[in-house]
Amino acid sequence: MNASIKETVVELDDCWNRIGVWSRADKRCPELEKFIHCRNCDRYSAAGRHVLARPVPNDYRVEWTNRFARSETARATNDRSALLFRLGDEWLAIDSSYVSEITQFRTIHSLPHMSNNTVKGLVNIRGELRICISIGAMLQIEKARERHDASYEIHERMIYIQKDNQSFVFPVSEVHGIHHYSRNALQPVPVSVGKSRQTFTSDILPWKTYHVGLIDHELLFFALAGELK
Amino acid sequence: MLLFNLGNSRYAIPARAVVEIAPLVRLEAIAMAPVYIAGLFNYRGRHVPVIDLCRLIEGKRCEDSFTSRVMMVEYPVSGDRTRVLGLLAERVTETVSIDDAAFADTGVTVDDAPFLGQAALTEYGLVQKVSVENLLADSVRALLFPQEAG
Repeated sequence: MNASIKETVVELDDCWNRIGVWSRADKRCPELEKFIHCRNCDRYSAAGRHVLARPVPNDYRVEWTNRFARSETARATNDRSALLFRLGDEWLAIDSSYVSEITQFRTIHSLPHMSNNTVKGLVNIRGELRICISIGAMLQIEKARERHDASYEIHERMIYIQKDNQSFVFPVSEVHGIHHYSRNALQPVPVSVGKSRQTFTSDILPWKTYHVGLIDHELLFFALAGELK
Repeated sequence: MLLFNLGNSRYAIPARAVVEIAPLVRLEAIAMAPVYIAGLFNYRGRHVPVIDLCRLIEGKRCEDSFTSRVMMVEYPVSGDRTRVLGLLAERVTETVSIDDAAFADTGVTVDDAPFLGQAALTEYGLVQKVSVENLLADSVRALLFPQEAG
């Protein structure tokens, strides 16, 4: 039995059709007990490789030569990712590698003697108290619009960001999710954008019909550390 | 390890050195170059020299088959710097995990082939390890990467 199967591979006889899973015959290959399916069998894969062991047609070679000759920049790869979230009417993005967790809205415990617009208080994240900040105050994004009015203060989600030993939580109106993009897709920040926001926005990321401001995380963490002093 | 054949012998290179595997492509021949330099490969706008490992090690050309492929590897030139080098070999079809410890010195080191010398017995039979950094003789390296000389 074994010898005959070996022979069939060399001649590229389709033993998988004859006695394998694609056969209707009663006589089944004894190897099936071990491999369950023909595609797990060495003979099947060896036969597959045997099919490849034939001369390359010229047009195949030419096609691949042309494909590799194209420069790498032509291939847009989504090698970066950012978390998209909404703050009031504004969509913003932050490099996803700094986002540790997204939680539901938690109670903010205010800190006495902290008359600071940016620092809102403390939030319990998995049993640990984290400083809760208002990213809207940082970026000077107007809080309430008519259709959000009072409900704007009750945010939908909280984003927990972390970098080195700094960690902050900030509430947002809505989290879209992680968006993968290519660095080539980024656009420069228009000069007309308000002063404060421009400094915190490193690039503009086009997403759907929006132009999302990508937050400069270096600057954000630096400024947040300054706020706490 | 990335397995390949040269003639009937099995060889392997560490997979971490491999950037990409390209199928057989058209190569621009380099006149007067050693025979085992298969030619220049227009690799994403860069000219990358391709070594025919069959020619270098086994002494005959690689087959024109679908399984003959060009392994694009990082070739260390000077210091920490590497350049991409293409290695043409036959039956580039499989990557396997082989413990580094499984490779033992064969005890035979041929002066003309300093890149060989370690082998492991695996389920694929005897696999010889090809050391990418020792692949090219100094004179050939100077020929292919003249700007990196010194």
